[in-house]
Amino acid sequence: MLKINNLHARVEEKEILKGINLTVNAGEVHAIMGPNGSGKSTLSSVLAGNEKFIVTEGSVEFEGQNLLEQSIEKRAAMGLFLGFQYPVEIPGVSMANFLRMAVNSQRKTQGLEPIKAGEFLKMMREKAEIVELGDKLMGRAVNEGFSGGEKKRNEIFQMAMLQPKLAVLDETDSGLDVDALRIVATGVQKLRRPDNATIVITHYQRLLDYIIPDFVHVLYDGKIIHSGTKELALEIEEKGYDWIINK
Amino acid sequence: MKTYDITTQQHISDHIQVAGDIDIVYNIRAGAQLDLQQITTTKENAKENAKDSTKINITYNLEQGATLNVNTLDIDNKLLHRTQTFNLIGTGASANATGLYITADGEKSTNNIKMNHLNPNCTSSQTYKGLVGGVSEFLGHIFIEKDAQHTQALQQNHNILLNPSARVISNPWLEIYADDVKCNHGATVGKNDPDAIYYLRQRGIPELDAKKLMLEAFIDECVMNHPSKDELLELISAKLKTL
Ligand SMILES: Nc1ncnc2c1ncn2[C@@H]1O[C@H](COP(=O)(O)OP(=O)(O)O)[C@@H](O)[C@H]1O
Ligand SMILES: [Mg+2]
Repeated sequence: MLKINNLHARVEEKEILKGINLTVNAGEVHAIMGPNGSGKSTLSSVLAGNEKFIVTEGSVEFEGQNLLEQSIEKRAAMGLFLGFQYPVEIPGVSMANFLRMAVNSQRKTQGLEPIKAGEFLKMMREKAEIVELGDKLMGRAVNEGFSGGEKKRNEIFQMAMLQPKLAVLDETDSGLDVDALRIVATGVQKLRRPDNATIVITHYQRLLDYIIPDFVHVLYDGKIIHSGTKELALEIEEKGYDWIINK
Repeated sequence: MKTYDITTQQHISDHIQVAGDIDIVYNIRAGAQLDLQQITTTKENAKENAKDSTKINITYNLEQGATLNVNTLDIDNKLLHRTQTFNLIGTGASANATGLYITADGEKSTNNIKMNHLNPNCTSSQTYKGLVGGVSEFLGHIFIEKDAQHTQALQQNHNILLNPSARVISNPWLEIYADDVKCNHGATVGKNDPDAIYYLRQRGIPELDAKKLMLEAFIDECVMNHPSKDELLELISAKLKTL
């Protein structure tokens, strides 16, 4: 599904990604861990097409296409979803209006008719339940005045609405209390299917109690320096990163 | 000059196709209410001939307990200079003014507001927003007479620049001689939030639609209660395409 090969990227004049290699197949969950400032958010931004970051070397193939050639919105319609570490507040744009536009824009790119109003409302109600988001948030502006936990649950709600092939969740667990973490994590778990894949970026092993990863990677200084299975996350929880970095 | 006497509650909704200067006075008598909605556009041939500004002067005289809600939408003009003078003459009068101005490259709009609080217990508010691709001026004068105690006067002016050569002049001017007043004002000049556009695009919304959605959200409070909202949104949408 996703093949990242020797990916280098910079922001302004600073090189941040220094040769990332990663392959993700349908049905898999990959966890990416690593100290602050390693380049985890940069990797997700580069995949999404954030124009602040310039790719200087390497390639990314997604669903058999050259991902790096596509616009941000085309990547989304191809099935790439980014759960933002810091979801953006958009005053004046209602959740319902935003999601209808997002769903219909993606459908249009995929050659489908716009969704029927009744069907859309039903879908909103069903998907909101997955992350226990109440109806009242749907009438509000996107993320405006949402609590930290509501913003993160809203990311997973949008993921449920858009049904991506690949979701990259950037620290969706940070700043959540135990209950919110459980809601977010079981939400992601419910959305797992054999034909989609998830990359979870996290600092904490606790998320991986709910979302069991097939692979765990350590990103440090712009490179994946170590990969393993779910036991690696436990080991990191216990011993930190130094033993890997110093190897 | 045209003069109108408003003695009851009256609702006027106009679309003015500007051809020359306009001068109007509204006398809003004690206890009466005027709700005025005015869209201005200029015909293409009149635009081509425009050398001097077209002047629209409107004066509102509010007697005791009178209420005014006015909404002006300057959407498609070449050189438009609008002056609105609000005289809050009677006690307890209330003026609520909102407006939107849109200019493309090579166009200029001026909104000159004179809010004169002449007697106690009056309230006024001004909310003006601009989508600016040319030059737009907002001059907001709040004058509060010595005797006009318990005045409440608010002013907000917010602008979005649509291109690098766009220019906004925002000039609040508070002239206050009474001491028991509540007055505040704020002005901003900015661009469409690039992080919000990125967020919308990541969800699959094409760049142009995302920008348009943001601009519509910005102006929503100026257009949401308009009786011919659909016609208005079409005018705005057509204008935005040219920017
Ligand atoms: N927009 C930016 N401008 C300048 N430096 C940036 C920008 N974004 C990230 N960086 C730098 O890139 C490095 C990696 O950041 P980031 O990808 O956010 O790390 P992580 O998500 O692993 O904590 C850091 O040193 C950070 O300061
Ligand atoms: Mg990060």
